[in-house]
Amino acid sequence: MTETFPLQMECTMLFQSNPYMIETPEGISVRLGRKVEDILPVIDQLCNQGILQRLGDELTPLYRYQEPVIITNLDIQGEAERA
Amino acid sequence: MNQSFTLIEELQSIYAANYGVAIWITDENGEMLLEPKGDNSLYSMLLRQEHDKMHAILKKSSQKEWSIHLPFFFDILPGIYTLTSSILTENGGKYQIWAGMMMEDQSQELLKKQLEANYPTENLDAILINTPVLNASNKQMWIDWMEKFSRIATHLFSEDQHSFYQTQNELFKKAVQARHQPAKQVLMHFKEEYHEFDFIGMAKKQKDKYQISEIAGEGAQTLEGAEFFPGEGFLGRVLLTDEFEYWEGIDKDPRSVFFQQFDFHPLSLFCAPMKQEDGTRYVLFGGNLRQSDFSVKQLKLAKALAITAETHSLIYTLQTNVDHQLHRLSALIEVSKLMANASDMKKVIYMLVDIGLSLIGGSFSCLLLKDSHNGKVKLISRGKLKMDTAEYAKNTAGRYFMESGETKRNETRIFSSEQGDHVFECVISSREKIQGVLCIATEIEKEALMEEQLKFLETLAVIGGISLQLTDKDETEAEDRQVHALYRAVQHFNQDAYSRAEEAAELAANFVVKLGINAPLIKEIIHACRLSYYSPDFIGEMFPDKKMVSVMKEGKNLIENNASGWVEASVGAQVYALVMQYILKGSLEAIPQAIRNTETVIEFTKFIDENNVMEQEFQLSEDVEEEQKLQTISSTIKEMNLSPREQEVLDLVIQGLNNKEIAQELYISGHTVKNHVTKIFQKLEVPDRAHAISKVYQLKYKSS
Repeated sequence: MTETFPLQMECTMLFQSNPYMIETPEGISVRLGRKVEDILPVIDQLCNQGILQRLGDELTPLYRYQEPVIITNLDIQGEAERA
Repeated sequence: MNQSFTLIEELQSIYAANYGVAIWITDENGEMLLEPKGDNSLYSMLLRQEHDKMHAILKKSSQKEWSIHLPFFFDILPGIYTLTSSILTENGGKYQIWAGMMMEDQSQELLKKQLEANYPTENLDAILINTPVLNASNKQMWIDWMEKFSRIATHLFSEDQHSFYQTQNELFKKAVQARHQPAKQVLMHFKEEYHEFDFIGMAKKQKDKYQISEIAGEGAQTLEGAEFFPGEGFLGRVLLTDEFEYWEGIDKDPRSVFFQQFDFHPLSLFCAPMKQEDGTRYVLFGGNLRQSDFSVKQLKLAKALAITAETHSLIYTLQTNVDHQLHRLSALIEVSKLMANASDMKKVIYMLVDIGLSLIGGSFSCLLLKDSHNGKVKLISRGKLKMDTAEYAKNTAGRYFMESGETKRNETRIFSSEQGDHVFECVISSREKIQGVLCIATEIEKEALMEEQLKFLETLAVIGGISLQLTDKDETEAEDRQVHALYRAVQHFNQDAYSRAEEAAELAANFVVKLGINAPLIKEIIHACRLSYYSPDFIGEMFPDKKMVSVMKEGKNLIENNASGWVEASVGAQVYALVMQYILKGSLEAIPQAIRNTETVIEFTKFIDENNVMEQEFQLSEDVEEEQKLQTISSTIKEMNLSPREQEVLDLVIQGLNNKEIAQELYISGHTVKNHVTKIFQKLEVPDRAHAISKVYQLKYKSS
């Protein structure tokens, strides 16, 4: 577990709770009450993991939550027929 | 002079007086350390006559590396003996103890003649008569006392090492104080404080090679980052021998090329191999640039430093672990808080997938969930594996949900694919039934770290399991309320349909118990009957993925297609079709001939015949206008004449738990559960579990 884990969690929760929010690093820092320089590596990590999606250009990046892939009825043989 | 020396002098005097010899002690250079004690005439005469010669002989003898360390007789002059013993103290000091002079038995006359020639003025008769004589019978006695004397002297000399221990203590103290600081700080401190070595460094393993990670000393910075293989040069050698080693005058040694390429030219070097708690090895080394050899003290200090550094490493690791544990605990508290506040199942699921991923720092996480209501498996995933992700999900679902539920239930596994994926698989269970599997890929192959992550993931899975159970309960209650609302709505615009639905639900509730169907499916069938006024498609929209939808769809098909496909249909659909048809037509005649001999129909016919008289009770109650309250199973049970504990037991009976499971759930013995169950049967006037469940459902639907 890295030392940034608590902040990573906070950031993830912020986006999970607001799935339609699109925010700048500065905006995220204001919402979480954290410094932008602390936020940036965490955002990078979350983007690499696919939890956040990067929008906008390099100078003015924007971020939003990327929902996980959901398959509601995974086909495993015989399973669907079981009561 | 210190106290030890005073004591040794005291000892010298006593032994000398007792055995008639003079005893003196020289240091490793042959210089007199403690002056002679005792009265030995021959020694006194020789010293008087041959002072310089005697001194030279003794010095030479003291400096000589004797091959034996036990006491032995040494002929200092022909026929004149001393008894001598070398001692080595714990701090590396070397001393020589001398006792003399003695002569061999029967050599008195010859010796006298020899001495007379050299020292004619001496009274040799008087001297020789007082000189101890060595013979075959007393030699061992002389050796034994010298050995004892040596031992005592060794102990006394060792006490003089106070300053060395003090240094060691200081080192340890610093090491403990510096438990929050990396090893480099301890090395720096040692280098600055003791000035014993010109440089000190440490090399750690980096993949296959070792790399100098810390170095302190003038001009030594160039070595930082230098790499070597085990076995290569001086530093690599100790990794093979696993022993402390030192080399002196190494400037001409070909192995010093390693240092010279960094423009560093040590003359002496020591290396100590060390091990960290997790088994990783590293090398501590140091030496001098201007001094080509080490003193004994320096070597002792080097060893002490190695032990101190190893101890520091252990303390530092433990301290770091403690900090990490605290860190992890805080993180777990945070996770628990977030989970506890999660309002719906979706949120909990997303949190498990995302937190799991953040925690491990990997590139893939997924959650496989089995719906307890309809048996469907849901996959929520993020990222990709090296192997096909869908294939992995299917494989995992098969392994956990198709396997016998009793085996490997809560065992966390690490799945390794041929493509090189390593995935932690943590079971999420509730009431000993597998609810889901949280799977997170990891790239760390270090066993200790994997273990650490695994523990955290297991805890996350436990918290997740509880949260899912709680949100599921909330959602189930919400779903019950929704079904009830839809059902009640029918009453307002179609009273007949409402009555039929109510009758059907009650009939189904009574009948399904006979078939031994499990409680969740019973509920779905009853819900299907109550919502029978609505089209299955509409119910499908309202309650996606619910078993009641398939019960309604299949059941409706059976009714509309004259029971075609009856055998293949699920039992839930069969019950729905039978009950709905019976309620609509009011008789068993409506059942197609083709299926009258099937098991469900035979049971249903028997049930209707037995309960014919009860049909009156299916009439619409008079007070439908009265405000109705939503009845849950728990509230129905509460209205029964049961003790609080019996109510709890009955609740669990209805959820399908057996006596053993109930015992585990309520932390009571199986015997007590049996007693409670028997009393419940007596109070409800039922013969078995199935009837008890039926009774509860009857009461529930009568009152709701």
